[in-house]
Amino acid sequence: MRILALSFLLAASASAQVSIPIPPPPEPILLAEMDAPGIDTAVEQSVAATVSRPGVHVVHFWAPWCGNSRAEFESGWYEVVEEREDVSFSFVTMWNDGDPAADRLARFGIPEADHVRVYGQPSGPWSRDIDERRQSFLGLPVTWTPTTWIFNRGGELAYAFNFGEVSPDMLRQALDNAAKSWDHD
Amino acid sequence: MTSAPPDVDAALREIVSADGVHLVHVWAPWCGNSLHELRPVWAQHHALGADSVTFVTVWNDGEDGSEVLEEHGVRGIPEVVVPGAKPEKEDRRLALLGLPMTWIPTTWVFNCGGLLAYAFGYGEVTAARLAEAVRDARSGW
Repeated sequence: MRILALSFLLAASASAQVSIPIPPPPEPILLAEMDAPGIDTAVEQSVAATVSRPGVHVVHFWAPWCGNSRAEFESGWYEVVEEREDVSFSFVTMWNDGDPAADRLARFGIPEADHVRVYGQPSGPWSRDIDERRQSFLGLPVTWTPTTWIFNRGGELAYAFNFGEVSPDMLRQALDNAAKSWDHD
Repeated sequence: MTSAPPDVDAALREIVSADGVHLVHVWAPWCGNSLHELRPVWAQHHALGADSVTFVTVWNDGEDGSEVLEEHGVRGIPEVVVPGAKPEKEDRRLALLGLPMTWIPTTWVFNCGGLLAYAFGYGEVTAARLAEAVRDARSGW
């Protein structure tokens, strides 16, 4: 059935603008299988309060044992954190037995400060099975470390980088865009 | 936040859960920011490198946006329609695939069988940035 539906879509998209006929519900995907959304932990409560304030807010999920997390910090994130004291940064350490590992973060040049907070999400130890390293936070899926979210407008999600690594320039651009007014209508 | 009709979510799940990298773009024909993106980003959608591009046309009285897309040189992109009239600005919020959509236009990049890789949910995205996101979504990291 899926093959038939996709074949139809490909044929339709090659010819003209069309409205997609609605197929029967397929098997659910992982997004629908995440833990029940909500604000379940004290860390989530604290971060939710932070991002609901006016301004631009970064929420960054990382783990000290994660090579991508370390590579991202080594690319120069500390410069952006230092530059943007107008932005709050909430660093949430995942899959580290609840240990925030603030000392490790400080070694990457990101110590706790008025605009920098470090949390340890009680999410158990590291698992070799990547499927077991998926959960939700603030009702949104966390499926990769590192993950970076940017909030604005009193707690609305503006940008999510849920895969790979975010370079300092990408982060700067996203922060600038989140602070801009884009209203045309 | 209002949820999209189940048949809309089902149609999108079918698309993004396939192998590859998939773009889902939420827009409205009456939205200035959406119109600004059409020609520079979406008229050359094949150059973005995704395996599929799907437009979700919202709150356009149940109509698709095919005429507006054609006027802006956007061709060959299938649409899913979320019915309803244009809401007041503060009410333009919708849960699609369980994800919050709080700004029009919004663009999501999916990979790994339906996981959200990137969300651009504010302002306007550029073709270069989106193509980079698609490349990154394919990377093994």
